[in-house]
Amino acid sequence: MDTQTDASLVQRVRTGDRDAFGLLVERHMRRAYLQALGLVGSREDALDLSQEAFARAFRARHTLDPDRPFYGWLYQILRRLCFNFRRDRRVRSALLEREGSAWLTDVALRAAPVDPGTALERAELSRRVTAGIEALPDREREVLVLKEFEDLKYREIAELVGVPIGTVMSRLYSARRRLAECLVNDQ
Amino acid sequence: MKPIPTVDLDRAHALMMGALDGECTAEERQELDSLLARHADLAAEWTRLRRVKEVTASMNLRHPSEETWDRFRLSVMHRAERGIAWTLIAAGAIVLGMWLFWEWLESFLTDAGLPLPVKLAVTGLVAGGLILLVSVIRERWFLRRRDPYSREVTR
Repeated sequence: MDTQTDASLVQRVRTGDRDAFGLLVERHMRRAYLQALGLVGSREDALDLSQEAFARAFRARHTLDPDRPFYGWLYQILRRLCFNFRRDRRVRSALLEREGSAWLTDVALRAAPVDPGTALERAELSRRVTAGIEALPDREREVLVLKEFEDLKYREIAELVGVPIGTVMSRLYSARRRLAECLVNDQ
Repeated sequence: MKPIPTVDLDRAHALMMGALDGECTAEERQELDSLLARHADLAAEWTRLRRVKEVTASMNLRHPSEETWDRFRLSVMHRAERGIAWTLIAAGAIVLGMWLFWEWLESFLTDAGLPLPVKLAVTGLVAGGLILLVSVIRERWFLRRRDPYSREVTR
């Protein structure tokens, strides 16, 4: 069983221990991938960006601080990569063309079979929510994804994103208000 | 006429978020209920936000297949290696390119057989190219410093 703490692994990584870094990758890759997926909305790009974040982290291993949480540090690299990716105009237009790419799944629909009418209705709702989230400003989308799909507490989100809890709540409110408008306007 | 009580909207929004996400105290919930009872517009917004919460709570991010994870770690290590390799290649190519360019420029300018207008034209091209290069580098550097996200990643 893997009983080593992130801090002890980070200490080893700083000396160039690749196996220790491999353990950190295994420990955090799922979370990093899913958070990238929430931020960019494409599975291939999320995979690419999360792998790139780890690769950059390894190259910058000398700046790692064992006293700080490893994932918090990695997340800063990851979110910057994701934001820059979205900011790229060419990528944005490509994302628009890829409208409807399924990066969200309806848990309720998968849990129990429903009649075709309800399934169609839920699929349409899912499409609208996905489009609504994709249209959110980066920072609002980030907070919404961390809350809704990662189920983090406000305090945890504030630590990851590096803003006060009040800012987390106001971004979340703004994101939800936009989503509510999107659901109403599209009906 | 009874005056309409004013509402601290920021406070109301924070209470709504806390209540939706189960991160509010009993007192805060009571405060929200009292606000909703007194303000119809807030109550309507509360209904809309609850609907959004209900919908997003029923959705989740799609997980990839297990094989993806098998390749993930390997791919990260390969990328890290390739990154170091590309950095070394780029550094070597820049130094080599600059040396070759300087050698060529020196022999070109000292070539007595070439007419002066040709030398001036080439000097102009080279100088223009250098100014453009410096300008692009300066612009990139300026944009990088003003990048709103870069401040947040400094730890």
